[in-house]
Amino acid sequence: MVRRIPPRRDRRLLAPLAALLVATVATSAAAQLSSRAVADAGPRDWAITGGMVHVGNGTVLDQATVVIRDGLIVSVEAGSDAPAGMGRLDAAGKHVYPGFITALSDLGLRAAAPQGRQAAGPGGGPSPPPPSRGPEDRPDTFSWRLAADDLQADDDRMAARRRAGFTSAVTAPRGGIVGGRAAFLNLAGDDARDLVLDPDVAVMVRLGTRGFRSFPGSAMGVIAYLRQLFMDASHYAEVWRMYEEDPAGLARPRYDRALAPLVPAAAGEQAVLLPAALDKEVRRMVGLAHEFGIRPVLYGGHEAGESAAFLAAHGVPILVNLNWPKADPEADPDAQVPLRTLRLRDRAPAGPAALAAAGVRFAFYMGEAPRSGPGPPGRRGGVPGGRGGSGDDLAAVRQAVERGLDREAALTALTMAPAEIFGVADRVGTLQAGRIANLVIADRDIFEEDAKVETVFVDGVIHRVDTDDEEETDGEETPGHEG
Amino acid sequence: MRHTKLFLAAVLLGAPLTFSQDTVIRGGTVLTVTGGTLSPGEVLIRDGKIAEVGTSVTVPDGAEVIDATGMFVMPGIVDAHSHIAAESINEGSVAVSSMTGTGDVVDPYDVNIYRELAGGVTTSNILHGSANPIGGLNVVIKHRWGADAAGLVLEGAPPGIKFALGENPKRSRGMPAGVERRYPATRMGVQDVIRQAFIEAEAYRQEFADYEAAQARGERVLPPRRDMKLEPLVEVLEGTRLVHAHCYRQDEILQLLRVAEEFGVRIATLQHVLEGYKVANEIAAHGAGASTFSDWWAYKVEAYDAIPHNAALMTERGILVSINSDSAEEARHLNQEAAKTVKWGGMSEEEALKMITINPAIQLGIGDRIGSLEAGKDADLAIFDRHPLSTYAVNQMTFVDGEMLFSRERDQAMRETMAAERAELEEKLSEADAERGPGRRGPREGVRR
Amino acid sequence: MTRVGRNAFGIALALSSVCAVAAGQEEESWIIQNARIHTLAEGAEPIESGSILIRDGRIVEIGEDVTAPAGAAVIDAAGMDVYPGMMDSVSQLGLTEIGAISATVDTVELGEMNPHLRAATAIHPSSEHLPVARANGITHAVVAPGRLGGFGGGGAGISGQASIVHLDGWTVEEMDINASAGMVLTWPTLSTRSFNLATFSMDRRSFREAKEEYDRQVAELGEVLDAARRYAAAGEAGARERDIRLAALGPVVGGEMPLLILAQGEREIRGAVEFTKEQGVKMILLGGSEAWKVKELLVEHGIPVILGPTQRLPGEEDEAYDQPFTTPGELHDAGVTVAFATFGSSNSRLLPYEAGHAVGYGLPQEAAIRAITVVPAQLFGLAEDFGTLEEGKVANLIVVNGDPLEIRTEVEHVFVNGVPVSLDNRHQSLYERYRARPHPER
Repeated sequence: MVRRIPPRRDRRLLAPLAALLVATVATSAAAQLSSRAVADAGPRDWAITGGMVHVGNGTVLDQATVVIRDGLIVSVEAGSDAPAGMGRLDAAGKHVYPGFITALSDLGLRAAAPQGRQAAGPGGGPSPPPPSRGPEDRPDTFSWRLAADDLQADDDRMAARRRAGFTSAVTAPRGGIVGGRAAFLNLAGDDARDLVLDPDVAVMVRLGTRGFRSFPGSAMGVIAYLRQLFMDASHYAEVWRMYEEDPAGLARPRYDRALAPLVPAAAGEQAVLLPAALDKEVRRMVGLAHEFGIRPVLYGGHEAGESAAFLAAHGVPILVNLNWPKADPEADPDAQVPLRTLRLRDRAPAGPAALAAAGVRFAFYMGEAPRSGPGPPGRRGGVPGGRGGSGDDLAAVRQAVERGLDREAALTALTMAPAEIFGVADRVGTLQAGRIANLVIADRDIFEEDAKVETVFVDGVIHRVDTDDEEETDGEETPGHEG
Repeated sequence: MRHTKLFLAAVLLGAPLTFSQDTVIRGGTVLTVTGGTLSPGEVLIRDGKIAEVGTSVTVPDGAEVIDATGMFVMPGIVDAHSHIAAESINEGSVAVSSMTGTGDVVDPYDVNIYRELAGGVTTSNILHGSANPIGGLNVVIKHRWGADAAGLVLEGAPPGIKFALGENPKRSRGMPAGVERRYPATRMGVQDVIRQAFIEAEAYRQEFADYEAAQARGERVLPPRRDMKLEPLVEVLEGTRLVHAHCYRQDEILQLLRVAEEFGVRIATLQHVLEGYKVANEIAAHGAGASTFSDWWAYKVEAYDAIPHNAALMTERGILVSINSDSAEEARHLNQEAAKTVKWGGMSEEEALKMITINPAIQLGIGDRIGSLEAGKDADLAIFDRHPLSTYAVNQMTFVDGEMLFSRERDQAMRETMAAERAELEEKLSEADAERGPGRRGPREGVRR
Repeated sequence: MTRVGRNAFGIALALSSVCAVAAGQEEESWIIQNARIHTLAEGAEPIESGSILIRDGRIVEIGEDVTAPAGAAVIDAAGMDVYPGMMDSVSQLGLTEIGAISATVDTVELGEMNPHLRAATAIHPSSEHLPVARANGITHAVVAPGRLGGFGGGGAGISGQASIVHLDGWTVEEMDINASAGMVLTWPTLSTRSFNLATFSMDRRSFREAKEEYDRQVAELGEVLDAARRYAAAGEAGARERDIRLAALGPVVGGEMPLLILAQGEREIRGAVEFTKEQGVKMILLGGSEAWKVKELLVEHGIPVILGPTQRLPGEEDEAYDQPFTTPGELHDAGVTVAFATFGSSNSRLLPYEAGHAVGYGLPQEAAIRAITVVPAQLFGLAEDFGTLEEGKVANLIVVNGDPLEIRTEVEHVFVNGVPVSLDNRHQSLYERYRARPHPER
């Protein structure tokens, strides 16, 4: 999926889609698009010199130079030598990291979640989807959907995340029990198609129900459904394999758009994202994954301290929700919060340290807050989206560092680990020659509490962060050291 | 399901079940339930099992000796109908929900596991609800408080499934306005659903048999699709899965027995079975067990003829009867519920105790392993300060697999440690909240200390 | 006496009971002899072997030497114990038959302000629940309108007047002890979560919203009592306009009728106590799950508690597992007056076991017995006629073969309003009928 990212000014002239858009969208929008493109100036090849370069694989090079050309890293070497003819960014005294990766999000998605089998009701209005009567109705299943197909390049939240140092994200389709397949994307680009590193990195599963009158109407119903679904997908693969091998004399299997895309996941070849905020959910999901024969990537991980040894023993990676459980400001101040909930609030930020110590592969994402307040802690895992667009990520990671997470391990969780978990470590996640030029430059060690992200490169394109008003100025500035 | 079991076994290996020490309980009265009452009686526990029971047992060197003078030692209570420790229990969207199971959603954090343990309960049958003529699969747990979900599951207990008859599956109380009603709406329909499901299961079994035969003949045929709704029903047809059927009225009880007999199936237990006393001859002839409430009645029409003598009457007609809770609260005093069969129906004290120990254990197919104090059985037991059929009896200690998982003394101590931990955490968390401040956001936000 | 013998005797008594009442043979008398008599009179020890003579509905004589008058029916209670009849301090007996069938349920009227409604209006003397309760020694009960914290919760407001009745009588008027014994007020609950019956799920709202609604509800209650006071004053001044709602509250604001306030949480109990203090009205706390947290307050203001079922789950996950069991003992030790109630109907017969369960957890056995006999009589101003076995008191009593708080104990005879009542009931009849079903041929 890696390909060279053409320089922006060229694309502006060449892209037929842009032309089509200009022709079809409202005049103001067209003008906006045009003015943005015009503002896009500056060098496309850079030497970042003299910084403390954290390669992301454990190596740290002091006073090193990173050279990037045509969107890729050309070299990472000690010293301040920079080839001529490129932009030069003096990073002396600063820290250079691989671009951070938020391991689960809905970044780039603006459209509402799919509403099931939408049909025009009598009179033309929408009618609610008919109740599902069993697994055969494939309730809330949209496995054929690719988040990559619904991306919008102009999602403002991407800029906000860049300002926090994030250059890549895994975006999963919203809604559904099987929402579809998640994409691995870079967080900048004019056209949605330019964002995508890999359009198909994992199957996204949520454990929601639609109420008691439609199957599945219970937590155990959802699990039963997934069991049947993956079983059906395996069966689907088998009968089609036989049929395609030799159709003679065989009843033609039925095409099923819900099953066909699940075949790799059912065979354990593609990761399946499963929610697991609490330890009991971690154990349940890993157990089910073993039973189904699928490869789980868990998300949630708020009792990671309890789960660490278990996850290590089973070699299962987990995405940790950085939205640490907090007190509910709306809650009754006199109500007794269960000790279990207090422990969860206290221990959640200490979880990553335990995961690192146990050797569990983990990454971070900013999900919704799991249910808190009175009553037992939430069950939903904390799916991405909703309030996930804020820039609290690093503050939350720093909390984990305060609670014992080694800084190098924290960096790995922000960079290489998610790249590995989603199979794109050959492209992003470390600062190595040949990798995509996704970088973060901070004024000091990023895990220091007052560290500021100053500059971000995505696909080799510079994005400066104005630290006063926290606005980003995309490539407008001409660096003083050019030439 | 094959994978699950292997996996669970793997998990169990890691569970903290260590039996380093022998334990002797002496000085009290031992209610063995199956072998009479020993007063004084002694029990030796070794490796999670009852090693010896008698008026005088071996006291190995280094054994922990528990002085039960004046107390009553009885087998851990077995609750044949429970809905605790499950995150959901009803898949009400379909008339046949046999693809679901409480075993998939065991909640090891449910404090009711502990509360019931405090009441002397050591084993519970976690059933699916009663929203469907054919409901989901059950899971039998031991109250191994502190274990994870896999560790709670009583390994080796025969699998079961919930059926339900009468008002609940026919949805007689109706649904919110505008919601389409689900078949069935009558007891006739309930029986129909069960019959149809059995017919479907027979056809499914045949489909696989045909496939295997064709394969054996060397024919090239596509494998049939596995159907997790029907597979448990095939197991029912083959007698390898126990049916636990929620029922109230005598007519529906007979209807179920007859449709089951039509397919050669024996119903393992009739649950609630409040009018069981009216058709006790027929139930006994069929060979079903009965698990009933002690004295609930009149909360709905089908419970209007419920009588507290039900357990006794059914017992007198040769039915194996247990008293269940169906309630996290009721389960805390099943010993008292058993006592009601003495009062209403004249059961002997031993018969009464059997109804909450060995009888439900037999009904669940684990009677050879739990339910009475006999050498070789699991060391699941409760120690009451008075005869457990007394209203005043307070359980002092509960052992599961030889481990003391509850004691009054330890519970008291735990309250203090929990209070201290709460105070500490509340202070720590409120400080942290104050430092972070509410709703502060932005890239420069950090933890300020 | 064997079980069968007892049953036969019960039926015989039933017949005589019916005859006595039907024929109005007021001169008929009964004497219970050779019994251990637990009079529960203040400071009195049990009479180890004594007799009780009953005539005209009352205890005429009680003691070790009571001569049986000619014509008195003799009950030999050798080896048995006699106690005052048990009183269920809050029940729904007679107001509901089959919980799920609304046509048979008369517990909850529409509206939040119904002080003028009286339970006695709707008590169904033929309810099958009455003989069932009676057969286990419940001789009289407070019947209260309202949801009483039942399924779905809610129901804040005044649901009407509780009535005290004998659990026997041809008509509700014959059953009457006090038709207007107390005003039932379900205290508003400050809860951020409520169960939505329409969606079958929990609704959540902010604490601020919940607090606003709570404050409004409390203020409205105050306004209603103020209006009742003004109405009473206006009436005295000669005003002729009638408002039966406000009129019904007259005895409450006049301090004659207690408010029976159902409140479970600490905050709600405190709110209710403060309210009644400000209003200067009498309060009896019903339910009181968290009364153990406010013992001193209850003692300070002399507020008695009619405890909800002892056999319930703790209110909080971290609450001690046995808190509901220890609460009665804790309150008793602190000096709070405690009575027990079932708050139900079909399970009213379990009243002694709700009390008995607390004994294992610290409530003295005698206090438990008193909490279902003497104490409720005192709470409702009936102590002159009920609650103890003393000369001149109404003969509501039970003859049992042991401790009535023990489940295995059997109730042998029950006197209600001075006559022995049948111990037959729906359950006993069904039992006997189906016990007689022929066994299959073997």
